Amino acid sequence: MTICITGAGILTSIGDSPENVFENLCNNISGLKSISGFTKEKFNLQSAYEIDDRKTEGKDESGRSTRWLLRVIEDALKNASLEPGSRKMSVLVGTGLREHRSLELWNTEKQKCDVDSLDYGSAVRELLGSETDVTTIVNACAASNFGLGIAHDMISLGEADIVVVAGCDSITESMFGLLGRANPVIPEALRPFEKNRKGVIMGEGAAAVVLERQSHADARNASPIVKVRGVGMSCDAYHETAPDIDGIKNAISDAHKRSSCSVDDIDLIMAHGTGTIANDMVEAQVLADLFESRTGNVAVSAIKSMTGHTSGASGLIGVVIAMEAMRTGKVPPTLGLEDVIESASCLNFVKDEPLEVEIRIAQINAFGFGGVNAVAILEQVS
Amino acid sequence: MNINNSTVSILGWDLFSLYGIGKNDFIDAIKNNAQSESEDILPSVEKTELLGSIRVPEFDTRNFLGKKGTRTFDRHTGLTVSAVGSALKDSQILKDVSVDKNIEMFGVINCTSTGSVSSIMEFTKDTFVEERPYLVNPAHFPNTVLNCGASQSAIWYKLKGPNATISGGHASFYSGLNTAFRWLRNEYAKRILVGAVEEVSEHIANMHTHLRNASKYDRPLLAEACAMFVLQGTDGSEEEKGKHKILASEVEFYFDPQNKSEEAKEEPENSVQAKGLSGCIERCLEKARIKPKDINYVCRRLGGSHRLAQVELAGISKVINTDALGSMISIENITGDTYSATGAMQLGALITELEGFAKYALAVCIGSNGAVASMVVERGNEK
Repeated sequence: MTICITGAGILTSIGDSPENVFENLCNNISGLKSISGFTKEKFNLQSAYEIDDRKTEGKDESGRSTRWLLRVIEDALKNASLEPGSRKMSVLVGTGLREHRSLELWNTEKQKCDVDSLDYGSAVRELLGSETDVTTIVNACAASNFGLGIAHDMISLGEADIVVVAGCDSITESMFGLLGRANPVIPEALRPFEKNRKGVIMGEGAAAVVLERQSHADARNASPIVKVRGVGMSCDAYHETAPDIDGIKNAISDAHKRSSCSVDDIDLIMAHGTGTIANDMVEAQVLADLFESRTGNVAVSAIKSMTGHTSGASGLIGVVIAMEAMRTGKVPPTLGLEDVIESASCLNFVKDEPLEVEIRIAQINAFGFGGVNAVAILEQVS
Repeated sequence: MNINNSTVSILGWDLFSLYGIGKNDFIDAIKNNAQSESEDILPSVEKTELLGSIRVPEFDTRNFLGKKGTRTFDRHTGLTVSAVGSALKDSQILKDVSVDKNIEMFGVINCTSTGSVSSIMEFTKDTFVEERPYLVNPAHFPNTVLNCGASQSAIWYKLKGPNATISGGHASFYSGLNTAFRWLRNEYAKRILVGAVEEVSEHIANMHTHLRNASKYDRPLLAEACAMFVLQGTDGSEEEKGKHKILASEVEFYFDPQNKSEEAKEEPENSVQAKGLSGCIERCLEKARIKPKDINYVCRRLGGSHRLAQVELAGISKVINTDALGSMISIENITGDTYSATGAMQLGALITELEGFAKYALAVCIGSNGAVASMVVERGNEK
C-alpha cells in the first residue's frame, strides 16, 4: 500500500508557508531575536527563535500554540483540496509541551486556561467538527514524527482514510529557564555540528500534513506530494536527557526496514542537530557508522540553525522542508557551520548556500528527552 | 475507527489507587462495591490535607523503589516506574527483570494529562520566590516534560521498544490501548506495557478546581491512581494462552454543549453524546464479535456530573439490557475521579470480575471533553 502526503502547512519564526520557510532557509535567514515573551532580566539566555505574533509587544498571551496548530491544519487541508469539517477525519498532534505556556500564564497572571484544552483536542474539534478523533502524543522533541508513524499505522491497517498529523510547540518559561540553566555557557546562536557550538536555543513552530492512501487521493483527484515509506521508532532506555548511539541506530535501522530501503537509497538526511554537545556528537557518530563509505554522497542539513529547536514540532517541520527539497531540487544549508566537529567530518553537510541536487529518498531524524526516537523516510513522487 | 479483528492478551498487571499500593485492596473494593451503583458515597479512607482530593496512601517513591536513582523523581514518575515494575513481576514472563534480555523489546504507552504540571507550577512559583528563576535545580529538568514517567520506566527496566505518552482527558487510556493494538499488529514490539497515571498534588487539585470549566459540575473526589498492564498480541504462544483478553477498544467524540449545563432541557437519551456512546458500544462489540446479550458485567465511569451520568446510562441502555446484567458498577464511586487513569481503573475492575462470574465484560466512559469510549474483555481459561 502506498501512503502519501497530499497537503502541508507550516509556521515558524522565519515564515508561514512551506514555500517561504524553505526560501528563507535557503537564504540563510535566521529567526533568532531578543526574547519578547518573558522578563529578560530573569534569564541567562536572552534570545530565542520566537514567532512574532503577540498582540502587545513584551506581553505574553495564552493560547498561541493552539492558534498556530489550527492555522497549519487549515493550510494543510487547503493544500490537499479538503474543506475543514467537510468529512470526518482523525488528527494526531505531536507536542513536547502542549499548551503549558497558557497554564503558566494562568498560574502567574490568571490568564485564561482550561484543563481540557491543554492537549488541543477541543480546539481541533471546534475547527474540524465535534466528532473529530484527536489523539495527542506528548513525546518530547520526537513527538510529531511519532504521530506520523501512528498515522501511517492507522492508514495501513485500514482504520482511517485520511489522517491529519500535526506538531506544535510554543516556548514555556519553565523550559526556557531550565535550558538556560543547563547550558554551561550562553549560546549566541544554535549551531548544529559546529565545533564551537554552545548549546540549544528554543524555537517556536507548528506544522501539519495530510496523510492518505495514494488510491484514496487518486479517487478524489488530489495530487500526492511525497510518499511516506515508513517511520522507525525506538527508545534508548539509557538517560533522561543524553542521547544513546544504540538507541538512535535502532530507530534508523527500523525506519529503513519498514521502508524497504537501505543506506544506499538515502539522498538527504534532515538531521535532528540541536547544537548541544551530546546530541550532535552522538548523531554524527551514528550517521558515520551506518552510512560508512556513502557519507560523502548523502546531503545533510540541520535547519534548527535557523528555526531554533521547535520541540515536538521539529520532526514534522523537517518533513515539510524535505518535501520542499524534493519539489525544488534544492537542499537548504546549515547556518553557522564553519568548523565541523570531528565525528561529523566525513558527512556531506550543506553549508553556506543551498545544494542543487535531485532528492529521491529523504530521512528525517527526530530524537527527544527520555530517549524517544522516531525517524521518517519519504520518497519523491515520480 | 475500525481495527480489524485483533485481540491482545493480558499477561500481568498492577494498580495503585486510593485503597493503597498494589491491586489486592483495589480488587476487594471492586468486589465489595459491585452492587453499590446507586451509592454516591466514597469509601471511608483517610483524606490528605487537600480538600476534595486524595492520594495513594503511604506511597513514597524512595520507599518503593529505593533511594538509588530516584532522587529527582517526581511523584508522577515514581508511581509510573513502580507500577511498571509490579506489572512486569505479575506477568511472570521474566525470570529476573534486571537481567532478562527478553525485556528489551517491550514498548511502553503511558496515558496522563497532568503529569508534569506540578513541576511546571513549582518553576513558575519560583519566578516570584527566587531572585532569578534559573536558580532552580536543573536536575528537575526532565520532570517538566510529560513523557518523564514513560521514559524513566524504560530507563529503569531497559525497555527499548517504542515509547509514547498520550494525553487526552478521561478517555486517554482507550486511545493508549488502540495505539498498543496498532504497534503489536505492525510488530513494533512483541509486548507492550500500557497504563495510565494521574498524580494528585496541591497544584493539580488547584488546577482542576479552577480550570476544569466545571463550576456547575457535581464533580466527585479527585483521586490519584496508576495502573499498568503487560499486553501481548494473541498469537497462540505459550505465555499468552489462557490469559484474559482485550477484544476491542473504541474511542469517539460527540460533544454536546448542553451537557455542560445541569439545566439541560433535552432528555438524556436524546443527547448527541448518548447516541454517540451507544454507537461506540455497538462498534466495539462488533469488532469484538460479541453480542450485547453476551455481556454480563459493565463498568461505567459515571460521567463526572449528574447530567453526564444520566447521558452515559442512556447510551448504555440503548445497547445493553441493564436489567439482565449480572452487575454494573460506576468506577468513580469506587476510585474517585482519576481523570486520564479512568480507563485503566476500569480495566482493573473488568479483570477482577473476569476472575469471578463474568465471561465477557464491558467498560464505558464519557469524558468531559466529549469523548465516548468502550472496551470489551474476555475471560481466559487459566484460573
